[in-house]
Amino acid sequence: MLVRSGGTPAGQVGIVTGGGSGHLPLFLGYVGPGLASAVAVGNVFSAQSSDAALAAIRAADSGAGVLVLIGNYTGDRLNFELAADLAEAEGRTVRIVRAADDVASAPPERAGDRRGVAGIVFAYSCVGAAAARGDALEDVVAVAERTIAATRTMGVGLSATVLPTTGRPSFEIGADEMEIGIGIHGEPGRVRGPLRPADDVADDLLDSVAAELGLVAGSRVAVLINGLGATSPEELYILARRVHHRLAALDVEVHRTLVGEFATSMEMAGASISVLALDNELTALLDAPADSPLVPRGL
Amino acid sequence: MRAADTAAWIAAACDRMADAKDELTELDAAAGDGDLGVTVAAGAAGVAAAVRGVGPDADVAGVLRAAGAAFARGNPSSFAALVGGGLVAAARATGDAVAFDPATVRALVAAATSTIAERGGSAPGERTVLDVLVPLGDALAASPSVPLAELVATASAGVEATTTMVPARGRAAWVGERGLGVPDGGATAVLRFLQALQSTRSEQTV
Repeated sequence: MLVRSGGTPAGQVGIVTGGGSGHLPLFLGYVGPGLASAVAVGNVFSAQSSDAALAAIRAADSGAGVLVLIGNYTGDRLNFELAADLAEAEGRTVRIVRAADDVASAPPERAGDRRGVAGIVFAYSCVGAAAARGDALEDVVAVAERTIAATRTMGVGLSATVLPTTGRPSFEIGADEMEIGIGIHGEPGRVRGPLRPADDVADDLLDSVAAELGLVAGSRVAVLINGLGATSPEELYILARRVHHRLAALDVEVHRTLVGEFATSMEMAGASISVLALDNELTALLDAPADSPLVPRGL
Repeated sequence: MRAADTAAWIAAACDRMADAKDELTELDAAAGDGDLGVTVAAGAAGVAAAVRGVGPDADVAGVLRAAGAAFARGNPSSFAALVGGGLVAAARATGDAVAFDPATVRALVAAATSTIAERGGSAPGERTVLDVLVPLGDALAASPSVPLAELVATASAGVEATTTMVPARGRAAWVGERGLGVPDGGATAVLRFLQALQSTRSEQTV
């Protein structure tokens, strides 16, 4: 468990997150002013324990209640739900919101089953800002739900992660293949196929994301180009360039572009593209100050 | 019987759950990742220690909450968190009851069952622990006082029924029909616990 230096300021809603290790700077990196107050992690790709989850909730609670913001994974959820029950038995108020931004992990009609991936970073920023400006718990929850509802992500994987517990790759993929729609633990995506140029891949990912967000001329968005662990910043900027050109052609205003490693999968090669459809309030929240030593500047 | 006395009985039954470890490991290995034996054995050992420590004036909720937290802590896994969460929800449903009387037991089983079903996203017939818990809840609802032996028989029939079910939830769903013919491990764990309760205090009715 890691707690923000000085804890949650008195009167502010505490933000807690957590999940398995292996995704740095997710989750430990998102603790700090304007972000989460406390975080609980488990072993690589394994849920945090309910004990760690409860300790994080206690540490984050300054009396105004706690929002638990996590990815939509069964083990993470069950352990936080149990911890929230125990915290409530102590008289605390806890709400849980799950990020489910990975469009490739379930069709739109089962959007609630989708996994949470890099897009949760936008939610950290917005809820952290809402808590810092003094919003009540229900209002912070509403910001979390609204941000997640406006965020979509899709990724591509080019090589697998070797799990330290087994010493084996988490999945098999040829050196000349890529998996479009891959999950952050190597979960299968939509299509396995031969390698293609970066612009084509960017188009595939962006098309899936943009279609669901209903982007039109005049829409305003934030874009996150995320490296999965073994993909160079140069390659990420090639994707960013293409996304920028495509959105400009649609007359969509890109308010902010983040490029770097925000949610990785150990040494997996690949990237993901996340888009947050902004309104005025989310824009202001996203622009509010946030700081953590583990996260690239400009978050 | 005061809640603390029931807690001692529960602890004694949990002490015997180590005997079921290998069987549960084997059942789980047939369908899942094989960690159920460790989860139940470690969880039960944790529950035994936790409920022995609740103090003589503990209420039912205090016993159940301690048990739920301890079970989840033993060997963190989805099953441990589901059952632990079910016990903590059961604690809330017992209000300020000071004894495991029939109405309290009925309420706690119902609350644990509905919480596990909701959080696990599962329903009876999908080869899970619910295939024992739901019949147990029905039996408890049907009569003001049910002998423990009857509950054991109900659980046993529930376990038997899982052998013909195709797994729909959790890792077991990945093997699909290959799970046929083998009883569900989670359901079996509940049966073994009831049998342990029976063998440690066979004259009890609930």
